[in-house]
Amino acid sequence: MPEVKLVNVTKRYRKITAIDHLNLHIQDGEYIIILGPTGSGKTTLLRLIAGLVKPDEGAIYIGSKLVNDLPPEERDVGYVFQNFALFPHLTVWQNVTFGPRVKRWNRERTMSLGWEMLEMVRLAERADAYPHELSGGMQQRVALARALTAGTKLLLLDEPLGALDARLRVELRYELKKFVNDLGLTAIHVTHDQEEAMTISDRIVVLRGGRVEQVGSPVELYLNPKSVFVANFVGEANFLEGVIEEVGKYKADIKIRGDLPLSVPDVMHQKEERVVVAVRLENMVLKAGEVTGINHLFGRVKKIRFLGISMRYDVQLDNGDMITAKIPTAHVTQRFNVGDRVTVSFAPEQAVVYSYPAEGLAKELSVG
Amino acid sequence: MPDVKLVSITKKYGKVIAADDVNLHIQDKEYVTILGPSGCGKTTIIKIIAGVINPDEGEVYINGKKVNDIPPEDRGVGYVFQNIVLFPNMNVWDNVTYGPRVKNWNLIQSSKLAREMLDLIRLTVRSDAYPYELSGGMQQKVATARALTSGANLFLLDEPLGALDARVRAELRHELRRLVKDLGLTAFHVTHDQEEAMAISDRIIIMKKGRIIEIGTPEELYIRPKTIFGANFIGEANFMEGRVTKISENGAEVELRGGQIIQTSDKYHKTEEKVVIAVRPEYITLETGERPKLNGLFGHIEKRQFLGGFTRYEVRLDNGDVIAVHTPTTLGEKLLDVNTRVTIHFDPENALVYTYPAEGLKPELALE
Amino acid sequence: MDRIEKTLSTRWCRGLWYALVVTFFVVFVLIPTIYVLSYAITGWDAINSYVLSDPITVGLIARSLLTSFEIAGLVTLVDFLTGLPMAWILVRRRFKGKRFIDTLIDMPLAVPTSALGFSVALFWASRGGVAILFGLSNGLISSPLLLVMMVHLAFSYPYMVRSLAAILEEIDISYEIAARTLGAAPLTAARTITLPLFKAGLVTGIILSFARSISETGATMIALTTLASVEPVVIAPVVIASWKSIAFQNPELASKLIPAGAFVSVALIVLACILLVFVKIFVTYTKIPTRKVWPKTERFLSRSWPMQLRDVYAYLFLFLAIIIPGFFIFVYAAHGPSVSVTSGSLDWTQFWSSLNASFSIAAIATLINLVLGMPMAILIVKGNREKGKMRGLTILLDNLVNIPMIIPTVALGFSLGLFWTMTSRLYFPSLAQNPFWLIVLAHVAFTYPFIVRSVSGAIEELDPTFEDAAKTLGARPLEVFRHVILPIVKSSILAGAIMTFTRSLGETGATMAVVPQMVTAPVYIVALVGRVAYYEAALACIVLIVVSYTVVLAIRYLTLRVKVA
Repeated sequence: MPEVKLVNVTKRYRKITAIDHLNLHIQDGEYIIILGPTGSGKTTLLRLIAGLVKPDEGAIYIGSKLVNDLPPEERDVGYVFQNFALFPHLTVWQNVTFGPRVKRWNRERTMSLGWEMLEMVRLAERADAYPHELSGGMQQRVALARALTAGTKLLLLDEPLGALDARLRVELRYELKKFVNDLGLTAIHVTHDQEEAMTISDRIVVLRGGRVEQVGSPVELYLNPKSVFVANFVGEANFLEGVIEEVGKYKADIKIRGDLPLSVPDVMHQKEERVVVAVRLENMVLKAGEVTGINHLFGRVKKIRFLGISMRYDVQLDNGDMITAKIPTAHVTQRFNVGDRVTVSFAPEQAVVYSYPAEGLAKELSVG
Repeated sequence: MPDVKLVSITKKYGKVIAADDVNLHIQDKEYVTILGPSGCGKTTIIKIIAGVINPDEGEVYINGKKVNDIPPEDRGVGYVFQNIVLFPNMNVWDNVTYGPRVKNWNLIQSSKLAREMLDLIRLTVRSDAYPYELSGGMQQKVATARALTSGANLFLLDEPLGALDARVRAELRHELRRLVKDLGLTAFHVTHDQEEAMAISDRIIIMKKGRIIEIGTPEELYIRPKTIFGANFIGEANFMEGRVTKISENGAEVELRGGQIIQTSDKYHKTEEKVVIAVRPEYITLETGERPKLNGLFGHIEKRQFLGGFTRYEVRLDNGDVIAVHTPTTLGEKLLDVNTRVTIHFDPENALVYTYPAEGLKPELALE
Repeated sequence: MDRIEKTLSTRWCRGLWYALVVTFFVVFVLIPTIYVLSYAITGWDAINSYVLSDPITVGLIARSLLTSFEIAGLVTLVDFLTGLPMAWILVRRRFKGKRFIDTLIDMPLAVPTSALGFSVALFWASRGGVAILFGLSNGLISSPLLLVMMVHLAFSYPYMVRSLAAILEEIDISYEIAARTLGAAPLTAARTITLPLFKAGLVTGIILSFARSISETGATMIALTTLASVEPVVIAPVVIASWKSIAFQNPELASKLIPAGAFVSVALIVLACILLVFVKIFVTYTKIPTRKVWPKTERFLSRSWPMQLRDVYAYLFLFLAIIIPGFFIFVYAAHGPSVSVTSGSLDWTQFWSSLNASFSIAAIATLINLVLGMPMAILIVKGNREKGKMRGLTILLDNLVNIPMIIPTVALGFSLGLFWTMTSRLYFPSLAQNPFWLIVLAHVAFTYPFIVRSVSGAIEELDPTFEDAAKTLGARPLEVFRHVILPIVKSSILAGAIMTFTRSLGETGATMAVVPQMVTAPVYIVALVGRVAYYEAALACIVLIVVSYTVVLAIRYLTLRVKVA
C-alpha cells in the first residue's frame, strides 16, 4: 500500500504553469482530497501521478520508487474519470475485467476479483448490460469497480461524482469512502466541491494556481484557515476590512469601516497594519434591537433565506458592510423579519485576522 | 408580466413518458424552481413552455393566451441553457444585442438596454471579448444578460449553473434571483440541486418520472413535506418503518422495529396501518448514556463526520436501524467519540408519518 | 504472444514502423503523383518545341482546360445550391423513410461512374430516354456541355451533401434554439449563427465536388460519344487519356504526345491547386453578413409553406437529376437490343475478365491503403497533439496527404506512368513491365487520402479519456489500439474502405492514363459505347452496378458482424 510523494514538481503548458514547484506527501491508507477551483491544476496533478503526463521538473515517487519515466500502464494505479470513460463497445463485465485481461491474469483470479468488485458495487445482475443502458450513478459504480479490479492499491479519482445529480452525489460519496476504507486503499480524490471534501477526506489539500495553499484535516482547515482564500473556499465567512488600532497581549483592537471597534485575539500583526477579520457565518449571533457589547455591531435585516437546515440572514450594518449569519433552523430562538433592527455579534475567539491581501480583497475572494 | 399555466401536458418519447398529465399555474413575478432527479421531465416541461418542443397533449397558456401554436421566437421568453450556448463567432456585445438586432429594434434604445443589463449583472470584462476568453461563470452571466436584453418577461433557466464549480454556483444563484426580482420578471428555473432550489425559489415544484410530486414554498417542503420522496429529496431525513398501535389525543403512536413506541402528532393514520416515520437529522438531539424519555431511543455512535457548521453522527440503534444526527458544532458541545452509548430523542411534532409506500420504501426513495 | 506484443510496443519498433509508413507514402504515393511537375521542368525543351510552338495544339489545350474548369465550376455551384437544403433535411429533420433517402443519396458513390454516366447520358440524350415523354425524336438535351454537366452532377452531388451534412451534424442545435428564443426566425437563426460556423464543411464540399468533376474521364467520354455532335468538344482529362492511348498505339508519336500530355497534366494540376487555395482563402476570410436582418421577410420564409417548398425543390432535384437518370439504365435495357448498332450480344468472356481486373485492382488497392494508410492517420492525430516541431511536421504531412485527392486523377495517372517508366530504366526494371501493379499503385495513390481522412477523423473525434483509461488499466499502446480504439472507430474505417473500393472500381481516367492497354470494366464500357453498342454497354453497366452494390453491402454486413478481439 503505497505512499505517494511529489518533490518540487512543475508542469507547464505553453505559457501557463499548471503545477508550480509542488511538494506533497501522502501517507499510506489515507483518503486525500485535492480541493480547488477550476484551473487550479488539480486534474493535472492527478494525471502526473498516473503518468498520463510527464512533469517538466521534479520527482514523483509511488511507494518510494521514482516513477517519472514509468508509463501509466506500469504504474499500477486505478483511475476513475469524471465522465467515467466506460468502453462503449464492451459490457459491464468486460469493462470491469479489462485490467486483468490485458495483464494476462489467470482466469480464476480474474473471475473471483471481478465478481467481488461487482458485488461490492451492487451491480452483479447487470454484468451483461452495456454502459449506455445504465444510469449515471450505475455507470460511476462500474467505473469504480473497473479501476479496483485491476488489483491496485492506489486509487485516483478525478471529480468522480461531478457528472451526477446533487442528491445522488451526497448518497454516493459515503459509499465511495466506505469502499476505499473496506479495501484498505490509498485514495487521491480531486474535486471543486468543498462539502464533498469535508465529508469524506482524512486530509484536504487546497490547491490554487498550481500551488498548495494549505494542507490539513477538515477540522483544521475549517477552524484554522491560513489565508483569506482558504477561509472563503472551505466553508463560508464574513470578511471585514479594518486597521489595527492597538496591539495588546495576544489580542488586537481593530477599527473597521465607520470606525466601529472589534477586539479579537491576534499575535501576528502590528499597529496600523491593514487587515481583514474573518468570521464564519455559523459563528454570527443575531439579537433583536440594539445590544451593546464587545464585537456587537448594529444593522438592519436586508434579506432572509430559508435553507432547510439553516436560516440565512443578510444584515446591512450601519457602516455599510454586509454580514451574513447562518442560524440552524432547529435551534432558532427568535424569528426576524426584513427591516428589523438587529445586533450582530461574535465571540472574539471565533474570529481570525489576516493581513490585507496584496492583490486586493475582491481578487482573493474570487472563485471564478 | 406573464403568468404561466400548463393544462394536462403530456409528452412521450417512444415508451418513455417525459411528462405525464402535468398541471401547473405559476403566478406573475414568481420565481419557481422545478426540482427533480435526472430524467424526471423537468427539462421537457421548460422546453414545452419555450416552444422548443410541442406537447403530445395539453395546452400552454402565457398570460391567459394559448400559445401551443406560437413558435419560440414569438413567445417572448428568455432562455438560459446549461451548456451556456454563447454564439462563438460573436463577441460579448454582439451576443448580448443579438435579440434586439434580430427583431430590428431601435438601435439606440437596444444599446441602452444592453448596457443596463451588462451593468446589472456586474460584468467586468471588455464587451469586445469573445466567449472562449471568458471563465464559465462569466460566460453564464453574459448569457443571462443576453436573455434579458431580448426584452423577455418570462425567464426560463435550464440548469443554468450546472456547468459551474460549486463555489461559483453558490454565488451566482443569488445574482440570478436578484436580477429577476429587480426586473420584476417571472422565472422558471430547472435544477437537480435542492440546495439551489431552496436558496432562491418562491415556490418549488418537485418532479419524478414525469409527474409532479409536490409543490410548495421551501419552508413548507422542508418542514412539512407531504410525500416521502419530497422528504428525502429536499434536505435529509431518517426513515423508520413501523405500525400504528394507538391513536391518543396527541396523535398516533407508532411501534417501530424492535418494539419501541414513538409518539407522533399525526392525526391522519389509523390503527394497524403500516407507516414510515421521517425525522430530519437536525431535529434529533443526542445525549450520552441511556436516558429514558418520551421518544428516546438507545444506541451507539458508529460514525462521526465533521461538516463545518455541523457535526454528523451516525447512530446504530439497538433495533438495528441507523439514524443520522446533525449537531451544530458552534454550540460548544464536545465532539462525541465513536462507540459511545447514546440516547437520541426528537419531539413528536418533528416526527412526520407517511403511509408505507405500495411499491416498498426503497423504490419510492430511489433517485434514478 | 505476449513477448511479441511487448517487443512490438517498444518505442524503437513503433518508430521503425512509422518511418516505414511515411516512406511508403512519400515514395509510392507523393512523389509519383507530382512527378509530372518535375518532368515539365526537365523536359521543358520538348514541351516547348512540340507543344507551345504549335498554335493549334495550344488552342486545343487552352479550350480543353477552359471547358473543364467551366463545367467543374458550374457543377459545384449547382451541387451547393441543391445539396445544402438536402443536407439540412438529413441532419435536422426526423421522418419515416429518412434512412431510405440516406442510402439513396449514397447510391451514386457505390456505383462506378462509367455505368452511372452511361445511364444518365442515355436518359437525357438518347431517343429512348426522357425525350419520349416530350415526343422528341432526339434526346432532350442536345448540348454536349450540358450533358456532361448533368452526368457530372450525378456523382459529385453526394460528395457535397455528405460534406455539408457532416459539418452540420457537428454544430450544436442549441445555438439555433438559443437564437430563436431571442426572437430570431428559424431562417435568420440559420443564416446568422449556423452558416458562419459552417465554413469548414463548405470548403471540403466544394473541394471534393470540384475535384471529382474535373477528374472525371470515363463518364465524360461516354457522354460525349452518346451525343455525336457537330463541333468536337474537348475536355482536358479526355484529351490526356486519348493522347496517352494514341501514344501507346503509335510509339512514333510518343515523343510529341507525351510532352503534350505532360503539359496539360501540369496545367490541370497547377490551375486546380491555385483555384482551390483561392476558394479556401476566400471562404475562410469572407464574413457572411450577419448584421443585417430582415425580420418580416425571414419570418415569412420560415413559415411552413415556404419551408415545404424548399424541401420539395431539394427532393425534386434529387430524384429528377440524380436518382431517376441513375437508375434509368435498367429501364433502357428492358427495351432490348433494338437500340444497338452491333450484334446485340455481349462478349461475356471479355467482360468478365475486365470485371475481374477491376475488382482485383480495387480490392488490392483498398487492402494496401488500409494497412499502410491507417498508421498514417494515427501518426497525424498523435502528431497534432504534440507541440513545437513535431506539430509543424505533422501539419505538413497532413496537407501533403490531401494532394492526391484534389489532383485530377487522370493527371495523377499520367504522372505516375511517367515516374515508373523513368525509374524502370534506373532501378525497378520489373515494375514498368507489369501493367497490373502499375495500375494498382495509381489507384492506391488517389484513394490513399480517403482512408487517411476517414480514419484520422474518427480517431480525432474519439474521446482521449478512453485511451487514458485503458492505459491506467495496464494496456500497452498496441493493446490500447486493438482493444479500445479499433473497435470504436470500426465503422468509420469501414466507410473509408468502401469509399476507396468504389472509387477505384469506377476510375477510368487514371487507368487509361497510366496503362492504356489495360481493360478494366469501366474502360470496357467506354469502348462499347464508342462502338455504339448501346445495348451491350447497358447490360455491362447493369451487371457492374449490381455486382458492386452487392459487394459493398456484403462487406458492410460481414465486417459489422466480425468482432475485433
